[in-house]
Amino acid sequence: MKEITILSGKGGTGKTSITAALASLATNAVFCDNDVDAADLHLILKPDIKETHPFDSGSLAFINPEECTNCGTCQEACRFEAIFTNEAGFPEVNPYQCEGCRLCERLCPVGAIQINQNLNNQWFVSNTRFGTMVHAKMGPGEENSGRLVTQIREKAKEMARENKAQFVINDGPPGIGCTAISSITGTNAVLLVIEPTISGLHDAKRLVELVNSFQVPLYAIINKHDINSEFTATVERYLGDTNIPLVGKIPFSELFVESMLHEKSLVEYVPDHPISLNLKTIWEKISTNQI
Amino acid sequence: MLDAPPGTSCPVVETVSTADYVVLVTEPTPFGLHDLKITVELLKEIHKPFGVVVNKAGLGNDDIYRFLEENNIGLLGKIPFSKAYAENYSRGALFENIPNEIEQSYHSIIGKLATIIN
Repeated sequence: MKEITILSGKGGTGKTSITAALASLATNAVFCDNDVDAADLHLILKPDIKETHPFDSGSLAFINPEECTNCGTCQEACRFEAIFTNEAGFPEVNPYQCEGCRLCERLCPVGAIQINQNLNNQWFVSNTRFGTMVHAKMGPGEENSGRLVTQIREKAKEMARENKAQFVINDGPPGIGCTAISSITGTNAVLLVIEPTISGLHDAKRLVELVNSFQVPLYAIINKHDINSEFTATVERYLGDTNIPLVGKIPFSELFVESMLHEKSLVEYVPDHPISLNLKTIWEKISTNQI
Repeated sequence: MLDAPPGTSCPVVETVSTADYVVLVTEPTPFGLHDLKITVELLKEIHKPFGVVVNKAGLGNDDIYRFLEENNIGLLGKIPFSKAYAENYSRGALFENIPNEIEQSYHSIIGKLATIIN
């Protein structure tokens, strides 16, 4: 079993559209949406949820107003500035700022602070028309999304072993932060989706640096290559210089949005279109290890 | 002006936490609408005033405008999708040869923002 993670650095380059297209081509794979902050793959894969699991994203302080003597110790000590004075004039915890470090709990002279587990996040195992999918839903502003990615990737691999699937395909998050790092560690390959823009290449370079530090092999797709063919040549030179194999170039096409409106991958929506044939060739190259 | 990251995770919360007003930039596609809804949920929870700019208007469908209307969310403006302007962007030349339509949209958005913030 081989695990492939699709990443880009910059957002909006087409990761999810390309993941969905590859999902409709892979005959024996498990899919995992690693973009847990703003998951979108389910909008096309339409998962039928079979299992729901809570995810413990950490601790949150709670000040019991009946026991609090308003001494101000917690507010002064909190280095995340998570404790504010509420309308009643008493300290209160802002759950978005609280990191769950428990310092206030230890310092409170009257034991008025308790720590609660935050179970505001869930992850799911689902069936889709292309195979099993593991995905998650985070509450807004939640912490520890990197750990959640690690958890769902573990489950996806377990499901792949169980189903005797050949591939796990991870739809990665944008950026190079915690969730991106958790998407890279231990994966067999990263498929980089680059758009030929200054910001696209800039962010891709930062991601390549990160991926190289984990010594994970990289392949690249240039998406929307015809937006700027001159800059596409620059991207191709960069890939050549850094020995990253280019597995394909895809033109800009409104068909990606159109197929999304029909809740289909582009390959399902227009199976005989040149872009679909192009994507088939790309998947063939990736899946048969021709690179 | 703070340029925030995508998503609704900790860095986003940190960026908007001291802001007086938040401008949400979305696109009229199912992915755009879905992620916009999550961000709206967050901003409502933390009581931040906000308005929406629809970028790449003309692509996708009208669901996003229906969502804004149904939820009484202010539309600050629409920036039409233009492949020619996307080419400008690719070169980092956002201030060269701005198509007239797009320039007008920006003027109108800035006008609205000035009124709201003042």
